[in-house]
Amino acid sequence: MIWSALKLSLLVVSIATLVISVAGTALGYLFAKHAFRGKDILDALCTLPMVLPPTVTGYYLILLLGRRGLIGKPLFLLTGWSVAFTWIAAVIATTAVALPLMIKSARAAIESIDADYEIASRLMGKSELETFFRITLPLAGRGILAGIVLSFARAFGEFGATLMLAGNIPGRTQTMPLAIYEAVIAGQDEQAKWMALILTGISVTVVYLTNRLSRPKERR
Amino acid sequence: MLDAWIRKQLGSGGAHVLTIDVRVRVTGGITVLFGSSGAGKTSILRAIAGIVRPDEGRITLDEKVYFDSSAGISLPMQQRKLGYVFQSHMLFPHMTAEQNVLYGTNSDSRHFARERVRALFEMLAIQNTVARYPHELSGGEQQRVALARALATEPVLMLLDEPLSAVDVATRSRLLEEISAIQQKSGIPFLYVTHNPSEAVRLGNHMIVIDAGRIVQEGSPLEIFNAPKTAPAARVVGTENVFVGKILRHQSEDGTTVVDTGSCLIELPYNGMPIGSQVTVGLRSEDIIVSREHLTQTSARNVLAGKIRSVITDVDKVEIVADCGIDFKVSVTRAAVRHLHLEVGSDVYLLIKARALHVLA
Amino acid sequence: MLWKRVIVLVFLSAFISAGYCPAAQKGGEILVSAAISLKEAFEEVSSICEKQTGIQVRFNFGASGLLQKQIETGAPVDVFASAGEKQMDDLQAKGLIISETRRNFAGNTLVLIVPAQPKITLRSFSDLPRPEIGRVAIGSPKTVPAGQYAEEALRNLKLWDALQPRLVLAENVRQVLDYVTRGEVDAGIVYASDMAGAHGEAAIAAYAPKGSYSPIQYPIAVIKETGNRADAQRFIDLIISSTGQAVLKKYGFVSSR
Repeated sequence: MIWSALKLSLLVVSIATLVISVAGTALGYLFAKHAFRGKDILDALCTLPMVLPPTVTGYYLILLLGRRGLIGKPLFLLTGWSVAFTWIAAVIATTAVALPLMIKSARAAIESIDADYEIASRLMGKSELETFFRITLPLAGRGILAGIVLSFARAFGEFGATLMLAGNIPGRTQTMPLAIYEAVIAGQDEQAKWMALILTGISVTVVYLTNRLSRPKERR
Repeated sequence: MLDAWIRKQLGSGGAHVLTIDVRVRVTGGITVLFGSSGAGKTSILRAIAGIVRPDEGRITLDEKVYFDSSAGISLPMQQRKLGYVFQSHMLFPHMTAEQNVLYGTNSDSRHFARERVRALFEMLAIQNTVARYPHELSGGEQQRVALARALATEPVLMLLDEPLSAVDVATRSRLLEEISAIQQKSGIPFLYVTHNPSEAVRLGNHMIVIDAGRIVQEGSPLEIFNAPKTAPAARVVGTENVFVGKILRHQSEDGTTVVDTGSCLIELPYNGMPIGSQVTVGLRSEDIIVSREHLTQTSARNVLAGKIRSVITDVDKVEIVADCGIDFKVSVTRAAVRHLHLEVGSDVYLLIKARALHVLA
Repeated sequence: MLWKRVIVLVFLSAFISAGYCPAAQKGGEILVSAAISLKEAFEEVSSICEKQTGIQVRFNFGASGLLQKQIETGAPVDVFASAGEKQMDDLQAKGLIISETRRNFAGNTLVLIVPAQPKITLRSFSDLPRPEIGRVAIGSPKTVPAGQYAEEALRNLKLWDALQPRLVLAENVRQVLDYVTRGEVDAGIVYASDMAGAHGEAAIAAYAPKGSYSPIQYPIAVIKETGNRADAQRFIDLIISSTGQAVLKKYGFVSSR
């Protein structure tokens, strides 16, 4: 039970964190730099999972993606396949819940950079994309990394939305937090204790390593 | 040749609404955009660069149309081929000086790009900054690198936004000479924004005075400073007479230095500047005494003969411009004008104390 | 351009994984949503099931209410075993189960429990209103079936009003057990099956009198949208068979009435 939950957690969280890092940074940049119609509505929608209890977010997700859902129904009719109760659902649920954290962090980091740096780059003939990769990203790097660590931490502990959309199927969708919950309820305290320790150990290690690696270079 | 007609409203409602409505033309050499803070000079520069979008207008550079509101054309920043030097240099903090300057070069040929950059570093005398980061450089070095970076893109026009305002006075003088030299060497026209009279006078072949978003006078800097044509222009340039000269000789026992302005000799308090070096001198219009006769028994070291060119009467003062080889603005009371029967064409003597003359950077 | 490729990649990997993680429709595998309290009993039955029939049983343990919601929104479940009749009734009313397959497969009894070393000796439910007794824990009647039955029993025994101010409502039965074990409360009401796993942490003080609460029934049924009705039925049959019933008895459940 422990090992399958651990493997699943690592798989789900790695993929989710990857998706979140890219999507969150891109959306954060969009919000920071561009005005467009419906921006406020999109912003509110992206913030929603942070405000709602994860179970409610999971509920909305399953309404959307379940076999009877808005998107899930046509998908099922077309392919006979539903995303609910698969490990992909766990990734989706985790991503939905942790993405707002990344967007906010990335947006704040990007907004904190003096716009004239990017303007200088554009005036020297560089496109917006090149400016983003060569100037914005390096300068906002620390803030964005902090956002990634934050999202990772949130993803690792994600429970409510995953339970709703992906179910609690050992070997298929039962991540560590779900396994711990099940063990506690079923009175399997030994298992619960060990899993909690492993979860804590991994989280602390990752955050610690990230902080060390992102320490600023020694200034002469 | 830049031809920029720009109309833009800044601010939204409330007290600080500034409407910019100017037509700026830059041909060659250094054109100075002069005005006090908040006059709109930086906004004009940013509109030309494409950083902000005018409400209305047309901007062309040589044959190329950068902006045309009626045709819906607005060329994006990266296509305008302009060099921009910011007030606070904006050197990329995560790159060395060399990397900063290389950034703008097209890497069609890495080798040639590096060569050009090396040459720029030499020209600006900053070879020792190559591998250092911006935060490790002095203010003067930073602005030189910023200049090099803008020049490295081989622009068709250079835009400079008060580049020396954050630099200390001593460095400023040296930099002014270098900027002038660089402009001449590269042949690229410069549009230079400043509120500092000394910079305007030292650098500018042509000056455009901006006040409240509009052009109030255009012409030679010295002329405008010392003989402003309108009240708003006079307000902007202030009561400072500004002129440039060369140190002729020092009279250390007397405690004075003699400066040759090209049309007359002026005696200042002693300074230790090298003979032959250029110096900008300032003199407030209130510090000049007008006399109808040549007085010698006074403490004024300078007695200059001249003719009155204009008389502008105000409520509490009269602004007179007298031509003594160079124009001087003189501020006197209406009583004095009446008492001395001063009018255009009158022959007068200007009494100027050495200690009233001060060296501007 | 780049994002178009990314979208293609996402869909590709989605389809690949769908094949990698076989859906419940494939022969020989079923997905059973069951209340957590049934975990140990059902896991044992499922290994017997695999040995006897080769059917692979995957479980989805959770709170009965949550499991019901999942099925309502189209979760690909084959069998549902609930800890309360209400959830099954709701699904049946919505036409989501195959009614003919519905069975009650187990029952349970309500017990009063106390810490292993109790400060006060309790011998029956009627001892509860005694002033020495501080707090009593039950599952929250709103969401926990065991709590609903506890309330019913207490009301029928005319103890509810007296006990109301002293009740501690827990989110699940495990919590009630924890409270009792740690001595946070003086007594708790849980199912007899919940005590099967407790090793000396708490003790049963009394059984709730017969008739003070409605029979606790655990229903099981095949979900209408199952892709593998035959195997689902075989699992239910095994649960109801003497083999299955023996396992359930081992874990503190009683046979259904």
